[in-house]
Amino acid sequence: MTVLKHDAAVTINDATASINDATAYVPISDADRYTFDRDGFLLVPGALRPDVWMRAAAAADRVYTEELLADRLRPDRSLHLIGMIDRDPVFLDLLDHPATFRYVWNLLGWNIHTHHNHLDIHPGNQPPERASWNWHQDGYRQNSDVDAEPRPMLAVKVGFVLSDMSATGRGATKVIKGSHRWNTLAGRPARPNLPFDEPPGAEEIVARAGDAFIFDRRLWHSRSVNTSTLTRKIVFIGYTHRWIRPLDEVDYQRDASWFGALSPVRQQLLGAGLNNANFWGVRPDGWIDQSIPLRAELAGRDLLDGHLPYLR
Amino acid sequence: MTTTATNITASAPVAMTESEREEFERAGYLVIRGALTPHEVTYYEQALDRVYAAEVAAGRVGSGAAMHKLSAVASCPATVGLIDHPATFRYVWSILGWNIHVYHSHLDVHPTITVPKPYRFEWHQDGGRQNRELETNPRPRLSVKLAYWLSDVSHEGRGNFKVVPGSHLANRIEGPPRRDIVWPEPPGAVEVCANPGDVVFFDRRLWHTRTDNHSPITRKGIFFAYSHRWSHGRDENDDLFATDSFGEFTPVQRQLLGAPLAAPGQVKGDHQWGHYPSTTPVYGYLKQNGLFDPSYPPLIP
Repeated sequence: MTVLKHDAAVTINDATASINDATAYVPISDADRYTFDRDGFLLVPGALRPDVWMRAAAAADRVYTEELLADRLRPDRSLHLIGMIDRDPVFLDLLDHPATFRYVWNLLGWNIHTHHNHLDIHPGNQPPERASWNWHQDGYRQNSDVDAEPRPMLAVKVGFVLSDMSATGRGATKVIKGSHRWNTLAGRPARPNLPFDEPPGAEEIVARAGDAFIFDRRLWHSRSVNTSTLTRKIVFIGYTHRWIRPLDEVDYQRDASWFGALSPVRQQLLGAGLNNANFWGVRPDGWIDQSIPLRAELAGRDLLDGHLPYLR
Repeated sequence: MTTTATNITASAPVAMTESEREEFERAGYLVIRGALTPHEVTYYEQALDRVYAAEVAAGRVGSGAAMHKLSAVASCPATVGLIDHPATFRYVWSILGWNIHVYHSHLDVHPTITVPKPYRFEWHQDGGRQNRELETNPRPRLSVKLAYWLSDVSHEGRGNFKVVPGSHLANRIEGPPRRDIVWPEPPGAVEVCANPGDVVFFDRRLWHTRTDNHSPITRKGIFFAYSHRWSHGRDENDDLFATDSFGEFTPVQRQLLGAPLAAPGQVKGDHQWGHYPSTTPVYGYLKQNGLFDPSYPPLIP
């Protein structure tokens, strides 16, 4: 595939057959950018080829079994496993997966890494009365420490759907499109387990296995209860600017051979940096560090054209 | 506006006053007069002089040349008392809250300029990539900085700090297409005049520049920039953590210098993001002194 520049951007949704490594460096279309800006959310249907999502689903099952045997599941037998990227090679493939990574750098720029990842597995047949208020924005104290109305985006999260959530009631993530510009959300009960009315505009992300979605960390979202007979399986990968610290701060054994064998971009995404100034995008003398892998990758493809400040 | 540090150091810590906060929000900076006593000025100036002499002796700074030495406390442990000084620290936590650290700091010595320097438009906001990567207008504050003056910059032309009051809410100012093109100073720009021991406390977004020192007085200052612990440090303090002096620092000082605080079983990153207030010393310090403020989100207990 030819690498296309902004003025000839293409939409490759639904074109799974054309997804290859070069796709990762295709700018997103103006239409996608507009939709994301308006909704704080984008669905990427068919982001994972069938063989990739089958590998990912199998890896998710294997990790679930390992955690079950290690007695680390929650009381409802669900799994919320943080920092699991190094548990299977297929998870590393999701880090810069061509169909989704192009959205990540097109929305955040080149000075980014992944700061928060989790594998979520929720067995079905949960009683509906287990619903409790879970609506939140991501970012934790960023929502009290940052003084802006609305606050800045700071991070995006990609959800890789590994089980069939093409009908509601299967534990899908609920969102309120457009709510990323709201610093507060009305309707919170005094205690999370008290009854509440679902906020207006709330909808489940209905998606097929192999689809992915991208959302602004400010988008108000919530887990939903899985009342179906299917087990919900999903991987989330969060990306943010490198001057923001990782939330998981997992020790990825950077001296291990598997880490050294990763591409420079993947090493960057997993938190590698030459020194502390490097995380701010600069060398110790204050000048931009041209060697930062994603910057170099984009520069080599003539994609740092100043069209957007964060891609300068 | 200037404010005076008199009577603050002797009493229990208090938040910045409402009028100081209003002025800081309006102008983007405050001058804290007399934050350091003359004795303290001498102590810190001598410490800075020792670093300068050592840098010259090591050949890292030419004799009579300027020094801009990063990681102030790691470079000069004697300056640690400046990071939580009673006369200045109250401004920092009053604005940023309890989950904070010093992310960037420097020791500056600028002798008299003896040869003409080529022109360069040096006006900037602090934060580097933050000014490219954040989309709001205005961008958020995110960090504040203390500039401790150890030399006399009570007159212009001594390498004073120059600012455009109120410009912290402007995402851009007019500037030349290239930094070496001579350009008029921004409208409203003023040199901040300060005596030794005065401190300038400013919002990182305030458009500012250093000025050239054409006076016979060597310009000396120590700068500490604070931000939230969920932002990455820029200073290099790892070697400092292993020194004997570090063990003698207070828990608040160790937090501010970026020491790992997570106890066994606590996720390191979660701690940086503020999930464990009970093992975050500045939280304890504010709690003990009754300084939380439910009306100000960074200070909600």
